[in-house]
Amino acid sequence: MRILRSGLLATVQDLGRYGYQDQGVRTGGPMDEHAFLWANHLLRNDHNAAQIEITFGSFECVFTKPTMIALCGAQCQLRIDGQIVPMWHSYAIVAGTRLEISYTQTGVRVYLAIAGGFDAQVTAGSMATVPGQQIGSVVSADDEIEFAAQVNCMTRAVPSQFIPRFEQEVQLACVPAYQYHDFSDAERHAFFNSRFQVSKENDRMAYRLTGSDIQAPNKAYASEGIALGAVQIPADGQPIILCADHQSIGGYAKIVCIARVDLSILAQCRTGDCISFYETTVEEATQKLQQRIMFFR
Amino acid sequence: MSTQLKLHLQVVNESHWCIQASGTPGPALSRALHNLALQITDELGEYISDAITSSQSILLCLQICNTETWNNLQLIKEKINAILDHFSHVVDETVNDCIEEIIRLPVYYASEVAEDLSSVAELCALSPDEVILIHSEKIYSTFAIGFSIGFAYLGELDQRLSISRKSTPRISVPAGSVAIAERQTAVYPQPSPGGWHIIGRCPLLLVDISRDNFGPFSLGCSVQFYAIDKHEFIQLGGQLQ
Repeated sequence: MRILRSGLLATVQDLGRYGYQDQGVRTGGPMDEHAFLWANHLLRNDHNAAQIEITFGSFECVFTKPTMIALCGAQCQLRIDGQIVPMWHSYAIVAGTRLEISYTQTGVRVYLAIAGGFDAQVTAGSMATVPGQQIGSVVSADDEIEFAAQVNCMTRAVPSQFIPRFEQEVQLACVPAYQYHDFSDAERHAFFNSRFQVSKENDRMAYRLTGSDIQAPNKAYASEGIALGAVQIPADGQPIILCADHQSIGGYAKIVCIARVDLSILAQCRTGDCISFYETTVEEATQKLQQRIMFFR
Repeated sequence: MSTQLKLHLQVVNESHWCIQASGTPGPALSRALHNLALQITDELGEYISDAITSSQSILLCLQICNTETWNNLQLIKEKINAILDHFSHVVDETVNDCIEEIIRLPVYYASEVAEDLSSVAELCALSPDEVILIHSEKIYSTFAIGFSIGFAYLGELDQRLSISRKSTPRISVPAGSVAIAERQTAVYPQPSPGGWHIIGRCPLLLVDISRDNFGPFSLGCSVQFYAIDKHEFIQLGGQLQ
């Protein structure tokens, strides 16, 4: 596959690089696991097959071998050899086929999956990319990306009930965690009853929010391991949600963890979107995560 | 003085658990937790992908893509608790150096590779040779790893060399730079921004991502620096630029 345009940021991602976080190696992985898993599912790929995560669209490429592809995620206009086709669908590709992905109309991240997965640089057992650590593959114009040619088979579409609407106001389920009990009742109440906005400081590492100040407990905490989706409250009181490229340890107070399945909602939020939080239990969050994983096995 | 280690397993969220340790934070506790983390990932690697150790806790990441993990959550908890119960580690603050392997790192301490050596000497009212002696005679312990690849916070740095970070960090610090700030020292394994004072350069390639080598440090391990001359620095692969 030859890349003609790569948009703002396009990276190769599988489900993440695990096993080395104790040495400071960040996991990476897809920001929107829901879209990623569907794209592989449409192609009957291994759920961990590598895809290209495209940020805000504006991507164009030419395929040099026959294969199948699937596109899921943010809403874009897709053209295959000039013909407009819908997202959340798989397509047969012959040598010479041109794919164009427009700028995203709603949402942020689009996933381009290919039959058998992309064949990119493997580091420590994973193709996941963390640009800030120079690990993995950032995809740019004129790059050639390898994949194994595949025989075409039946195309598939995601049932409409699984296709999300990308709203500008979202609610995220949270599991109380970490230093939750050190926060005062008033601060916990404020956290669950405020509307926050996504600031322009949002990327694969974190989403910084603006809105009501949440006062962190007046204590110094030792650095400790950070779980994906943890919400930090730094000194300025503005929550930071830690995402795919987060550091493995940190010492700020953390109030909750966003339910893993809801990180897929966050991943499609843009600057200015409104976020509010509601409480859930570990049991409920576990059930939802387990459901998602079992569905895609 | 010895203290019995108390360990407690708790749930963080649907994909992470945590082992909290009671006991005074310090090199001995860090090493104990590191060894415990290794044991857990060795024995339960099928269910636990990462054990991230810090000064008083270990964060466990569940292998959520393995269906067996979900089928065995209770059993896995029981196995971990059994390991915690049997991990009878008596932490002794006084004899932590004798049996421990020490990572020895060669350092070329000279202004041509260390922009801050003279200014550090001045700030500390010492000669450069005294700075080198004080820095290299101590055996340091690894306090924290995980902020970036292969970067280990080592301490405690001798009080005589204690100075605040630079008010303006450098945009790029050369790989191998040995630096100090407050009561800590470290080696920058790769070029990166940095606000610590650079007093030397280590010629060794400590991190090599292309070979899946993420550095030699582990929490609680001991590190000591030793001075080498320019000739040996170049022989060991050091870059002067």
